[in-house]
Amino acid sequence: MIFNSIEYLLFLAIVFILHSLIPKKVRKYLLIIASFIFYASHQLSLTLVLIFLIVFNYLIGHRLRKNMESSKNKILLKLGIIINVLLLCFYKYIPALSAMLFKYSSDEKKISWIMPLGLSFIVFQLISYLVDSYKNKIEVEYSFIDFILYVSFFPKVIQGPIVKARDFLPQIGRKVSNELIGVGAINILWGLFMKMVVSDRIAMAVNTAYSSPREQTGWTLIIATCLYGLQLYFDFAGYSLIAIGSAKLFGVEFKSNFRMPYLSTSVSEFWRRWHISLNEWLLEYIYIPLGGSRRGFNRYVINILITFAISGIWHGSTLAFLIWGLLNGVYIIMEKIYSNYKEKKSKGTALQEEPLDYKHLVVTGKRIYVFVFISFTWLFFRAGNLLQSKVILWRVINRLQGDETMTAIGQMIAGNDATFMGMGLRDWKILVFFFIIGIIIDLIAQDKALDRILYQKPIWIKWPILYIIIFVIIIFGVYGYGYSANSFIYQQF
Amino acid sequence: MNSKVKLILRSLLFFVILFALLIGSGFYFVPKWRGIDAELPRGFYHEEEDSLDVLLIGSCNIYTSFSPLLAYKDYGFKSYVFGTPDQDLNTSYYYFKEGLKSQKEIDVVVLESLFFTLGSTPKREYYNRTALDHMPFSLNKLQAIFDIGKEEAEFMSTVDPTAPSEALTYAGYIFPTLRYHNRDDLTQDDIDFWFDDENYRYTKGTNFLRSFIKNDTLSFNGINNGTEIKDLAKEYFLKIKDLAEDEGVKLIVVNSPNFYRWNRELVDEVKYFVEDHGVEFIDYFGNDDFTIYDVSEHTGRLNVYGVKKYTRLLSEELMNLKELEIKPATESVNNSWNQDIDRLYEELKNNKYTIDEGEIAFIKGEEDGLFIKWNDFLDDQTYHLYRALNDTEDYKLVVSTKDDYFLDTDVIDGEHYKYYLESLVQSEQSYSRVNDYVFLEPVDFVEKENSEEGLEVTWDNSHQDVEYILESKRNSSMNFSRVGSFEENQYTYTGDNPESTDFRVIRSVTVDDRQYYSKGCPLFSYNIND
Repeated sequence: MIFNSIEYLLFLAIVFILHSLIPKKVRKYLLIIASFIFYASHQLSLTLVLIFLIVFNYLIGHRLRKNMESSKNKILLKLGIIINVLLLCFYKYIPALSAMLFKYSSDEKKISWIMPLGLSFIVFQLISYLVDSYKNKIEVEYSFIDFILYVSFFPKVIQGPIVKARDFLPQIGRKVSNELIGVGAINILWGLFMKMVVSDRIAMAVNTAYSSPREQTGWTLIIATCLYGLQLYFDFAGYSLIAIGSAKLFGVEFKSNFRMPYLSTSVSEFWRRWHISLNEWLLEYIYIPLGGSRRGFNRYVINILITFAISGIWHGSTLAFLIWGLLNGVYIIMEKIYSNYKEKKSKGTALQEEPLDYKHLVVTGKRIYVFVFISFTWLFFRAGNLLQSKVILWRVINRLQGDETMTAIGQMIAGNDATFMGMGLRDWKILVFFFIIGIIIDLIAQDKALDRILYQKPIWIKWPILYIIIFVIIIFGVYGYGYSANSFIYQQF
Repeated sequence: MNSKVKLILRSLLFFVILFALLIGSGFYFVPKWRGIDAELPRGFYHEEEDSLDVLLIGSCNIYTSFSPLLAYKDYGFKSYVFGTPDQDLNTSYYYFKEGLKSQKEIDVVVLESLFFTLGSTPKREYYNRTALDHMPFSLNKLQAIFDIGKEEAEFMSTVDPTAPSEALTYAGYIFPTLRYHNRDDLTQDDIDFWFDDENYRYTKGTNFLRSFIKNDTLSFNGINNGTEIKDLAKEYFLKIKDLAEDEGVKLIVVNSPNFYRWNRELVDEVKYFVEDHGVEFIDYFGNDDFTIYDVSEHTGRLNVYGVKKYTRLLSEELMNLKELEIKPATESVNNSWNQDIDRLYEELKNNKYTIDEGEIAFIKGEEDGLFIKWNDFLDDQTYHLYRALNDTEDYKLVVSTKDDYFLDTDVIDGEHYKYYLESLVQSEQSYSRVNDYVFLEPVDFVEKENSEEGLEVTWDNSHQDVEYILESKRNSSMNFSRVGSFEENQYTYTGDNPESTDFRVIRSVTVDDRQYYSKGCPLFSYNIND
């Protein structure tokens, strides 16, 4: 029951209708039942792991809150965190480690099992819950039932956003306004547009290039890698919007998970705009406890590298993900060195304002720099393993073949059923058109809450727009037979 | 008004409009499985309400065999073949239900039985779509979707990982727009599609297969893909039977002639099963009235002559049923049927087909004579075939026969013969129109020789005043195409020839602006590597 399936939309509609009809008191029970049905529809047997995590963490958290002054609390907290992390390692890293160690052995020797869906997200949320309980940051009173709902709440259980208990629990049982419902529905619709019309169409091109990198020119792989960054954005931001919109239908509001990351002028800013819930978590529960930037430059470097290394291995269990994480850490450190240098240099001299035109140029240049550098890191992320990453890098360096790439593009534009990166001219036209629409809407939504503005418009303006979006998704979306059933990229983490 | 109620009402309205838009858009944004077979059932919805007496349901084996127009012309009852390609009995059941919605006065329903034993599992989407897409939205359509589409939905979602989920498969049938995104473009054709059904609806569901063959090895004992009656067929046959009983409609089951698909064991299995349930089965297997000249090439189904015969045979059976009472129709309905009959005859005439009984259907040049085929009365008749040489000689009796064809071997090369037929049916005489043909002997011999320039072909040129036509084809599945026509007897073929090509030489003469051909000479081939 992935978010862009008819099954999910039907499920959501049924739960929403029931939620609206039943008394307020029993609504959370309905949501818990719905959440477990949702989770079990993916992995029935592994629902037991979810139940174990809920019971175990509730008991620890309860104990932590009950005996605030107890000296054993720190040990209890550590125990809780270790058990959670061990469980994550057990499911996520042991099979990967075994695959690495027994690379050349028969499959029988390799350890393999299926990881419970959303485990990485659930574990991070639970760690934040334990730490907040220990630090007494959860100010609201809550029951075991509330806690079950916090962990299992279906709009976020599989793929986030990572929501802290202190943000979620106060919202349980809150009155659901019509506006929240309307805005939630708009969010879901736009999320589906981002995922099905833009991201999944980009995926057709990217998957073609990455599935056979040895047959691609260097330029094709560069284009595919840049496109992958955009695909990932539309995919995950789309998913997040569906999750945010779904939660709103039940009166729960999540923070934004993306804020136009590709408009960032530095890599550090990029990470404040990309997958915000994860990066805030890393900041609060890893980077700052390690000391952040307060303990000198050397320690800062180590803390950044540790934080991004954790981010890397959280995303995937191969070396390529570790390299991806560390690369981002290195960028941020280099930016820090440069800004320190600039600061030092400008000390004592009057700050000169750059002319307006020049300033725009500089900002654009910085954005291009961020896009190029971040896209380079996506190469490791998309390749998923070191061997594939090396193949792609080798071809980018040694087999650029710009003329061949241009010929392929030219033939595709000229028609004759020619394709470029597996897509014909029609697909490219649809992609470019709706990508531009998506970006324009995103840019406008930077400064204005477009969803709320649209909701407040009269029906004769609002409904035609919604119908158009629905029909664009239906007619130009990538789904059903003929295309691969695309699941959301972040589901695998 | 309470804001909650307001929200519910608004949401309801939003979804009602969305539903209407999706259904409406389905008329345009729909995969068009075009082709006459897929489109014929759409004509059913143009029939005047309660105007039909008989409904025929089933697969291609009925809609290529029976013509309601010819039945109406000769017997006066109105019928429609509500069939679709590969129609399984579950589809037949829903078609029967669909038919009864607008034709409540039907007396007889004829169920074709080929798919009691045949049929692939799961059905290909093409077949399900041709059965379901043109049905107007209704509860019956929804039931049909969840029933007919079930196998496809379950199969696709379990076997093919790239296939849509079950829910999406069903949704794609309810709202065809959901399948549109795999189409390449939206053209004027898509818009015209729903307004452009004049061209096929006039046949009342029949697709006339017009080619015919003369293949001496062809018999009723053809290919048999089925081995036993399918469970699905048993289940839905009983449903059809119950529905017919409930609605007071007489159900009969037939096995329309098919030279490839039936064999005695299968027919008997179906026949006994149907009769065990108290339903009449009309068996056409091995019926002597049908010859190889009534069969369509490749398919084994009936051609126009076969349709004419079968329509007559089945119509007589139907007319004997006490349940069939021909309803009086309004003048406009009768006029419309008569116009459709005129159009059918016009169409047949344009394609040089004569289907009236007692008329000569065609004359064809064979190697050893002229083959004359006429349309059978299907009674205990005797035919007298008369022939005259040119306009100078009187007509003489060539043969008296009860068959509906004759090979006249007493003919001379290059002579122009005229024929007419006298039919004696139940002591009544009738005469056909005159048909003529020029007999041309095949080209006697051909010599071929490879030279540097290409293939040098030389043929016998002892015949005078004729034109020689050299034809070629690259492979056996292609038709011959003309290389050129020559007065002399030699040609050097220099055409592009990557592998090998078959050739034949034909003689031709033109008399009174009509061209006559000999049976071609034996094929000879040319291989570039020779």
